[in-house]
Amino acid sequence: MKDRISIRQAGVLMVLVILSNKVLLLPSLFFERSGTDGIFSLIIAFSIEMIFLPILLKLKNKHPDKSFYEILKGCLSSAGGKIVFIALGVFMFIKALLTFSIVYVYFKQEIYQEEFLVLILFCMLPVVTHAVVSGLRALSRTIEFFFTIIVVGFFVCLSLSLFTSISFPSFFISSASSVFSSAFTYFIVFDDFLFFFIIIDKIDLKTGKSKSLYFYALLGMVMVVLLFFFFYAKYPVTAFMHDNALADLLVFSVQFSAIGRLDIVAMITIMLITLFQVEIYSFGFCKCFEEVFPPLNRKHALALFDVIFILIFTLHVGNHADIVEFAGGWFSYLALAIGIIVALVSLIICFIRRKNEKN
Amino acid sequence: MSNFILQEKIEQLKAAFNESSDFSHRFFKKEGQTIAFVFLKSIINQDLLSSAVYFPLQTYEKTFTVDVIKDRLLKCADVQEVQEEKLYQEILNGKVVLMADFDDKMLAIDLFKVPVRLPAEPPTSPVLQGPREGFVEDYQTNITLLRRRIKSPNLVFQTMEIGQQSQTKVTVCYIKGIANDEIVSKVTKRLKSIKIDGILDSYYVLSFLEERPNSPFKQIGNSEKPDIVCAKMLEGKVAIIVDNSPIVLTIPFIILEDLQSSNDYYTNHHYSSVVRVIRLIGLLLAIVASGFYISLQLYHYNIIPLNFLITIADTTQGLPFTPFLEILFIFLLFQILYEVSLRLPSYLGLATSVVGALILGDTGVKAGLISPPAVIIVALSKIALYTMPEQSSQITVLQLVFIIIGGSMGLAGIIAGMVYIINYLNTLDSYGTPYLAPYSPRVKSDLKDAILATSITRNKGLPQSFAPKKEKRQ
Repeated sequence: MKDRISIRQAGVLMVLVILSNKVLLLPSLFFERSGTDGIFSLIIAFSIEMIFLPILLKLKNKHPDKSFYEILKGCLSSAGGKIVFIALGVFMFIKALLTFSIVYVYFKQEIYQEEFLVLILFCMLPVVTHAVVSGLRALSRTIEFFFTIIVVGFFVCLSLSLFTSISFPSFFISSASSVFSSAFTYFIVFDDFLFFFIIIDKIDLKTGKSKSLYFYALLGMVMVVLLFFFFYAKYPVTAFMHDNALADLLVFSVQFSAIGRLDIVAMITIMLITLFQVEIYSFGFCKCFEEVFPPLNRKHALALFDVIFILIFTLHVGNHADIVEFAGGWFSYLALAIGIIVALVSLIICFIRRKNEKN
Repeated sequence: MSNFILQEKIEQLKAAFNESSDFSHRFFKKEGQTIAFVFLKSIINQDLLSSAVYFPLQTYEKTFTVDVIKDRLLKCADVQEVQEEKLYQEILNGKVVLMADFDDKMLAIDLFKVPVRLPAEPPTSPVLQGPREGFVEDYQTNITLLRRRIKSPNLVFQTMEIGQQSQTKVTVCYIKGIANDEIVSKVTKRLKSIKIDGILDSYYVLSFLEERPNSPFKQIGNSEKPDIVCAKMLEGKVAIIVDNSPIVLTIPFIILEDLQSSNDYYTNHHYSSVVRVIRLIGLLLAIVASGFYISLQLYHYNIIPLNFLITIADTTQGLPFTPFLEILFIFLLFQILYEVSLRLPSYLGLATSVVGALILGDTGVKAGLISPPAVIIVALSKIALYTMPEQSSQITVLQLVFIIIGGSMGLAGIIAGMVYIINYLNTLDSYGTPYLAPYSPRVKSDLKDAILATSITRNKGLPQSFAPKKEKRQ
């Protein structure tokens, strides 16, 4: 069937969405609230997020070829399905916007050092648009192609941070409430598995192979946890001042004679991760749009996405304070609510089906 | 057929061939019986006509019948009865048509002969070790070269004639039992549907076979060497031989094929792996080196190591051009020199190279128009282009694109550009085979002979990317 993706490709997408928004700004945000114990906030959020994976797999086993919208329609009626999908579409759009804002601030601060909004929009949006128009199969193949480069780049950044003075971060210094509140305040940064509910019918899940998805989920989470650990080890006191965690790991590192600081490794890795994340979320948005407004197709959805995206960015150019407010505001509650609804509905669907089967 | 009708028929044929000067006929009369021979003298073997056709007829003492002539007298391998409607075509195919006044039957005697080049090492694919034979323009010779290497009844050749005027012979060849039937039938169907006045080279056919004809990227493989084509057919690919072309097409095609060379298979696989990695680096340098250099100079000078930065700053001081225009200028200079050297005779080409390299390059630097690092970078990317010569035209376009992107958007633009191109390549399928296989999508079994090569003793499986009918080579 056209536009279907393999388990490996789904796994690669999973690693990418798990890395989403977490490699640049999040470590410093968590540090501001709960110090080095921010790593526990991360683990808590991941634990909550991880609940979605077995639910997703269960739902896929029960309805191997049905889209999530069709499943919802059967359970909640057409209107209910549409409401959930509109919420998911909004969530995807916000995630894309957040990712883009974070990388915009990074590039503006660290590299271009001047206003370059038009440049970055001109540079990224055509690529994102082309990827979404090409479909999920081409998109996931592209991410699969660059996956090794991303993982190697990521671990090179972590390794290079060792070529400087680092200390083992001291933990358990913040209160449990601050640790929990950090996790929930920025929950918009998590909830990444929701994307896979949108493309549930496109995953070619072979029997017995679904376990490899757990491996990829674990890989993504381990990567982020390691980043937090290395980042807090490098900046145990001043982590809140470093908004671009993965890139800042290389600052103050030993320079290798003619090779220099190798900042370029971080730049390439961040750029690739961000670009693919925006592509994934845009695809998610367009898929929701297509399902909710059936006469309209992906191109219409993309046109809408691009127009709103450009408008928001040109009218309200992101800076660090905006993003923090944006990520920590009511959007997090929205993310939490959508996550709970999707998880509950999916569980109910699985349960009803099982009961019917028994009868 | 009476003598009068025979005469009339020959006049008709003469008129049909517009009284062409190479149209020829000859009457052979003996004991009241008349035999006529009609042929195009430019494409038949006239010596053989005398020795294998005329001579046996002259020495025969009894009464002729067409069957006797066919079965007992003619000393030719291919003699067949021909119908009236195929008469013109047989003459055009280099056959001598025999007509007699004592019988209505007509014979076509194959005496086709045109000047044929001998198989030699093709200039585009020289090898250090391994076979040095190359395809020639004659399709029969090319079939022989393939048949000599694969002595199997499963090696199938299907010939058809394409081109309303040229009637060019196009042969589809594949190994039955290995090649995917769907691909074979799709290729055959597409070839049969070609409507064109003439096919002068395999490139004409290639354009019709491409799934996305408007794509700038190559989608059909080609080779001038029979050993390479045989190796590809053994992997389940379909080859297409076009008469009058020494280039044989192969389907399906993946981009990795151009990164591999026939040399790789006639040397140690460890060395092949190293060389392939170097080619990949070369490819990357060819595409992005110039654009990357501009982006470093314009946007990301802070990540250039200090020693290099000082050197670049020293050499670029006082230049009238911006880094972008400087690189663009040198790129155009190199490209113009390349185009000139291709079209000029070799003795003039050498002179152009000297003028280009010494006078334009060296004097340009001394005059302070261009900087030495920029010349080195563009030269490096131009040389690196030929690590993958089959894709040189596409890479040249990409070089220019990345120079523009690097100059206008910096590194972010270059990475976005790379992602865009890979995404585009991922939308290309060559007869069901993903263009970037076995890396995207990852086909684990095919990685044994991808960038890294394994020993032939360990590579027992057939590449699954091409969906062959067999899984193992044996």
